[in-house]
Parts: sequence; C-alpha cells; structure tokens
Amino acid sequence: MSLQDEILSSSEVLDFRGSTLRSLDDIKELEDGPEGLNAFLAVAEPEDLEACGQGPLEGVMVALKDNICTKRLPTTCGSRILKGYRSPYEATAVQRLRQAGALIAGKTNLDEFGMGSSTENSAFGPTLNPVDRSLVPGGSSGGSAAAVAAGYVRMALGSDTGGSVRQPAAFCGVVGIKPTYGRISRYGLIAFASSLDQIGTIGATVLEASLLLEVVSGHDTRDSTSAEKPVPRYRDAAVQSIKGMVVGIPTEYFPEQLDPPVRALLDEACERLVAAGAEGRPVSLPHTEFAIPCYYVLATAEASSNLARYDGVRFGARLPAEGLDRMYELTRGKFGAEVKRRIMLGTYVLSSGYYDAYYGTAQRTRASIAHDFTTAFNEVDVLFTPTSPTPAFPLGERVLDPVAMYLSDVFTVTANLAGIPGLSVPIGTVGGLPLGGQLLGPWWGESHIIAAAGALEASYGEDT
Amino acid sequence: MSVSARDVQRIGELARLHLEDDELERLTLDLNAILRHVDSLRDLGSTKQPEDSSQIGPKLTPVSHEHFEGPDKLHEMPEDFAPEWKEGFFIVPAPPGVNPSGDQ
Repeated sequence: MSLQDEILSSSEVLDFRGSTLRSLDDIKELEDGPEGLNAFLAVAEPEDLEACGQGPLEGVMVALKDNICTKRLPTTCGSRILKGYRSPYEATAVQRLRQAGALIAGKTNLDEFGMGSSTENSAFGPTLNPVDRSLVPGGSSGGSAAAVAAGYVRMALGSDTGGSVRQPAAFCGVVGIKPTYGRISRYGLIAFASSLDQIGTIGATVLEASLLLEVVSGHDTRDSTSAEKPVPRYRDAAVQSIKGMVVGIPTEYFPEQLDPPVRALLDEACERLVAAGAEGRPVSLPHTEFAIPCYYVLATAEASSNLARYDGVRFGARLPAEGLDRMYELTRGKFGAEVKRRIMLGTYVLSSGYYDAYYGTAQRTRASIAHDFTTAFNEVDVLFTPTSPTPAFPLGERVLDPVAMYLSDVFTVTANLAGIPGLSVPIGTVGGLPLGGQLLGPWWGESHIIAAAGALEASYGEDT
Repeated sequence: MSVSARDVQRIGELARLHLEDDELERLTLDLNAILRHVDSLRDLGSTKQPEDSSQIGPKLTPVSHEHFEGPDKLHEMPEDFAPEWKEGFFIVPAPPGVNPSGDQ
C-alpha cells in the first residue's frame, strides 16, 4: 500500500505512523547528541501525551512552533522575556489536533516572536539545517521545518506572517502551506502582526501537509477573524488531476537577477505543470516591487503595538528597578536585537508626523498589491513563483544586514499582504540544496494550490 | 527620511525600551538603512490606486445597523445618562461589608 493510500485509509494510519515515526526518546537523544539541530526547544515527556480523540491523526506525533500556546509545555516564542512561560490555555489548533488523535511531540525553535528569516534570532540559539548543518533552515518556523526534514516528525505546525512557513519549508526540502487569512483560528497563536499572522502546516509530503491543514482548519468563535466556511477534504485535493487548470506565471517574480540554475529549475517545474495537464499563462503583478517596504512598515507597526504587553507586569520576565517606568524599560531591554529593531521601526512609522508618510502609504500599497492578485485570478486559477530567490544561505551571512535578510522574503510577503493562500513544494536541488516552488491561489483556493503541488510532487516522484 | 541618534533615543523612550550606547549607535545605522529602502514607497504616489483601497480580500456583507440604538451613549457626557453623578464620579452602592462613611 502506498503512503498516499495509507493516509487516505484512516484504519491504516496507526500502523503506518507507528512503524515510521521516531519515539520521544529518539528525538531527545538526537537533539542532545553531536548531530542535534536545536530544532526543539522542548520535547514532551510521555506523561505530557494527553489522552486524545480518534481521528485521521490517531497516534501521529506533531511538533508545534513555540509561539502556539500549550498548557503542558512552556511557550517561549524563542524569547528570554517569555522563558519558562506556561500558558493558562491551549490554542484552538492544538485542541483540534488532539481531537483528531494527534500527540504533541514538543515545541520547536523559531526566530524570537517570529521575527526573522533564518531562526538565528532565537534567544536559545539557532537551528541548523538538516540538509547541511552550516546553513540556516530558514525562518521563522525553522525548527518545525528542520524537525520534519530530519524525520523527527512527519508533520508540524508553524506560523506565517511574511513567509515563515513557506521559506523554511523550501530551505529544508519539505512542504509548507500558509492558508487563507481566517482559515485557521489564531486563538492561542501569540501575536506578531495580527492582520498578517496565520498558522500554517508543514509536512514531509503534500498529502501530509494537506491532511494537517484539514484537521486544524475551521471557524472558531474565539477568533473573530476566523471564517465561517466549510472545510474541504484537502487530502483529496492532493491527488486531484490538474487537467485544464490555468497556471499564471507572474513576470515580476522571475527577475533577471535570479541565478541561472535557480531559473532553470523553475522553468522545469513550469514544464512539469504543463505536462500534467495545466495551461501556463504569463501575468503581471505590477506592485510587487513595493511589497517588502510595505510589509516591513505594516508588520513592524503592528508588532510595536502587540509587543507592548510585555512590560514585566502581565507576562513573563520582570527586572527589578526603582519606579514603574524604569522597570518597564529594563524588562523590555531583554528583547533580542531584531525584535528591538522592529519595535523601534514600528514605533517610528506610527509616530505623529510620520504616520501618513509611512503607515498610510503602506496601507494603500497593500490594497494595490491585493488588487493585483484579484485581477490576476480573474484570468488564472493559481500562480507559480519561486518561494525564495536562493536556496538556504550560510549561518551568520545576513545577521548584520537587516535589509538583506528582509529581502529573503521578497516572494512570500505578498500572500500575507493580500491574505491569499500560498504553498511551497520542493522542485529539485541547486548545488545539492533544496529549492522550493511557490503556488499562490485566490482566497479559499487551498484545494487548487494543493492539487498543483500534488501534481508537481508526483511528477518528480516518477523520476526516482 | 533619516533619523539621528537623538531621534532613536526618543523612539526608544516612546517604545519603553532600554537601549545601551552601543545599541543606540547600531540601531541608528540599521533604521536609516531600512528607512532608505522603505522610502521607495513614495514612488508609488504617482501610480493609480484601486478605487476601493480599504478592501483586502473578498467583499464582506455589510453589517445591518437597523437593530442598533443610536447615538452611542459614550458620545454623550456621562452625567447626561448616569443614574447618579457627583464631582466627576459615578455614585454606586457600596460593596457588601464596606461602610460608605469609612468608619470602622
């Protein structure tokens, strides 16, 4: 029975998972040993594995990014300011995992509060890329992507504010899905930029990432931005034909500066989509060049507001000082360099005299970017782009150059700005390093991008 | 636009962040590099904006206001609708066990 058949047949799921997944002891031993990746910030103890329901994930261990609240395990957001913090409640996505029978294997490393593209901004040290330990795994959900790529678990949850699920999935050679804004409840996801944040899924295959998405999606009365829309069987979409699907190729996502080997792999992926029955069509998204500055104004503005709550009074760490204001300042001084940088930028762009020049302009730009997508999706079913301009880069290469680091997200932030779903699927290797192709769909178009990704995955699978 | 070290110090105060001297210097450089990049947004000023720039995503059904009473009470002065009001405070019954006169 194929992997696909085993997952689709729920009665076979336990056997399949039981025979292929690592135990908690295995994960701890690997992480503590010389080959450890620092992918996990906490691995569950057997007593943490609460009794759970029967469902399509029965007996499956799933890892969670450490900005998703759990009651039994700490939730640190990769920050010294929340070190040891235990949430009094559990995220809706985690509850849904348990109801589906999943076991929570542990909490994975991330850039502090999700702010970064390499997982080097964690207060608890960087995660290493399992493909090549001298490289970053991407970020900010680098721990989740590395845990799946290393085979610690088959599935993990991440969060994606500007590409934080898709880019690490691409760097580690696994599948990452950021669904439509509102598809998965954000209740219990610690906020970075509330109008952009979305929980996403990472899987070793398109089918597994899709099944995980299906389990955690759906309306939640505790998140007013979650949508009251039925959840399709995404696992079925993963094996659906794409005959007749129109795939748009946005010219702005294929700049001349792309390395020729990267470009060659992208062209080959387009050809494979056509060979699977799709029709390719060039389209234009003219405001793409403004996406990065737009994103970094809006995301930092929202972050400066969301992170104001970490003041030493309501959550986490407190540094003693004489006077309340001094205590606030010293406590918040525990934030890492990137978080401070973003809080400062966000405070500046929201300050009197600069608000309209930056924040107001960025909001209008966001609408223009969303309008580009609406226009494109009148002509095509999905869009195909690179996930990232390059494969994984060396640890330390971009830490001191924030603009270079921000530009890593150039192809992913637009989906968050427009609220549309995006998916990264492996499309081969450049110099031995995995490269991801990104599929973007219209609002609630997850099934379309999953089908296209499934077709690509099947096409590459036929080669091996 | 650019920021000086003094500006950065002031932003830090607004954000309630304690910054060491070396952080101040580094942040001034970083913020100026980022702002140079962000300033490209100004180039967009001359391009055509969508008609409804407030709409991101699918059209939502407008909320019906027919069930709402108006105007919002909070737009009136509290003394206009407070049951009891004295010297800028609401007058409410004392909680159980508390002597309103303050005597023990």
